[in-house]
Parts: sequence; structure tokens; C-alpha cells
Amino acid sequence: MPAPRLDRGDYALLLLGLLGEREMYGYEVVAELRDRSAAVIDLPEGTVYPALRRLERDGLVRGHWRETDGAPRRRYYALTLAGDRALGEGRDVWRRFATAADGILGR
Amino acid sequence: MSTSGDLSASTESRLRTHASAVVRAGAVPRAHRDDLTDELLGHLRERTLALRIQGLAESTAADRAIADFGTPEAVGPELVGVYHSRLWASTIGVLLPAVADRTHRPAVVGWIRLMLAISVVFSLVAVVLSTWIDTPGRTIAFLVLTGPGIALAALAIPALVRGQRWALWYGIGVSIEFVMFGIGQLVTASPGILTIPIGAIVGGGILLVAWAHRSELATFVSRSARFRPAVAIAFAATLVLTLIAPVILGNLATPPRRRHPTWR
Repeated sequence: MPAPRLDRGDYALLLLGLLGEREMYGYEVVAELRDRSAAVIDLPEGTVYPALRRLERDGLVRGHWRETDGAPRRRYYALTLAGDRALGEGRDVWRRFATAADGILGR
Repeated sequence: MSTSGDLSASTESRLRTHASAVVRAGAVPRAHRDDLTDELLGHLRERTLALRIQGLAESTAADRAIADFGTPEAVGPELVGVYHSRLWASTIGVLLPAVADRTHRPAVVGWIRLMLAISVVFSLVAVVLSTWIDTPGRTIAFLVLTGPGIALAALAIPALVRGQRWALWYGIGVSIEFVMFGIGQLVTASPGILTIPIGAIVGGGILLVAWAHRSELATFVSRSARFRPAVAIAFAATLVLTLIAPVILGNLATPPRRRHPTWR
């Protein structure tokens, strides 16, 4: 049985979820996704950038370059108000779906 | 996150080449290109340094960082969807994104592009002349027959430099068309009049050079996706329509001209 695949919307929701905790740059997002999912979510690392840029285009996150002492310049992403709303709605939808799936598949 | 340390110039260059290839494959607009390249390069650098700290040799770490990042073919199409409309992404976006290494571009690619450019310019001049001297009906017929070919040839010029397989084959097709036009010129030339089929000479020359460098060309387009037979047939149809356009237009009832141009 092949593993379930993330569609674009699910992937975006996961990114919003991570950025809802604190602002992050792309490499951090990739590392968090890999670590927290125990490498179950293991997409090509580069695909995180189109997803982040798409969220930025849609006004859900805001990207900005930041330079800190001793570290290279990085582009951080932070949730916007619209992104925060979208995260809340997406989380509700996801939980309803997960509860429904659990009800069918058993816990 | 590990960030300390520097990378050698050759590793830096490899990482930058990969980041640029991904951005080109995404047909990212100029306004966002440098910004995105810097961001992707930052990721590749950081990953390479992290892997080096884990004990990998720098070149192996760079190989792994590039492999983990994903190929331009995997990441590029995602970027196309970010910066362009769905219509653009599903049409031109499929035909245009860059995949080739520009530093290994065979010289004949430049000649094919030049020939495509010449064919586009001549075709556009013919369209303008048609609107000037022909009736609207004949002009529309001319546009229907040659328009798709002109559009594809124009699109093939930037696509070919990016290593798109379809653009190379389209250029070869246009070269064959040049040769056939030239043969047609010779066959229909009035007796006693010297006819030099320049187009056929150019097209034939390009075909010969392309054949001589076929392995380099195959390598140049090797990262581009193979197109489906239906697409190949559709593209070939545009070439055939352009080829037979003079015959079809010649057989249309000659209408009265709207204007008679006066050449001085």
C-alpha cells in the first residue's frame, strides 16, 4: 500500500502551522518538517520554496531578509493576519477530516 | 542550524549553478530572479556545510545537498505556477522553462535560433504585406495557415537556448522546410532565370552541421522532457500548414485587391 501523498493544500497548511509558531527561514522549515514527521514527510527540499512563495503571493505569509551577526543573510517568513485566519480554518477542516477518517479506520 | 565555515570556490560555483538552473526552470520573472536565487543558494550552502560537519567530504556533501534539494525538473514546474497564471503555466510554461547548462551549448544552437528568427521576421513581413494587399478573407486564411507556425517558431527561439527538446526538433523541422521551399523555388523557376535558393542552402547547411554534432545536441536537450506523439504531430502539422500555405492561397479565387501598392 503506497503512503498517502500530500496535496498542495495540505502542504501549505503544514507550512502555515510551522510558521504559526514562530517565523522561520526555508532551511529551518525543511528541517522542522523532516524532524517532526520522523521523515515521513520527506519531499525534495527545494519544493518548500515554491510553496512559501505561493503563500507569500496569496498574502498568507510575509517574507523579509534578515542579517544577524555571524550568520548569513536569510529570508524569513512570518504569518500575516490572513495567514493566521487561514491556519485556523485549515486546522478545523483537517481535524474534522482526521476524526472522520479515524472513525472509519478505527483508532 | 550549522552555518559556520566557508565553501571552496568550485563548490560555491556548483551550488550557484544549481540554484540558477532551478530558477530558470521556473521561468521566474526577472524582478524575482536574483532574490530567489540568493534564497535557494543560501539553502544549498547551509545544507552542504551541515553535511560537511557530519563528516562528509565537501564535494560529496555538495552532491548530496543538490540531490536532496531536487532537480530543476522537479522544483521548476512548482515555481512556474507561483509566478504565472494557470493558462500561462499550462501552455507556454510547459514549452519554455529552462533546463540546460548554458555553458555546454553547441554552437549550432545559435545558428538554428538565427534561422528561426529569420523565418519569424519574414513570416511577419508576409503577414503585414498580406493585410496591405489582400482582402480580409485571404489575410485571415494566411494567418490561420501560418500563425501557429510563426508563434511556435518565436517561442522556440528562447526555448532552444534553455535546452528544450521540442524547440530543437522544431528548428530541425523549419530547416527541412527551408530546404523544401528552396527545392520548390528551383522546380518552379522560369527557364533561363538563375535561381539561387538561399533558404535551402542555409537550411541544408544547418541540417548537416546539426547531424555532425548530433551527440552534443542530444546531451544539450537530455534534461528536457520527451514530448508526447500527439504534441509532435500537432507541431509537425503547423510546419506542413506553413509549407502548403502558398499552394492553398494560390488556389483560392484571386480577389480584387483593396489597394495596389506602388513600389518606387
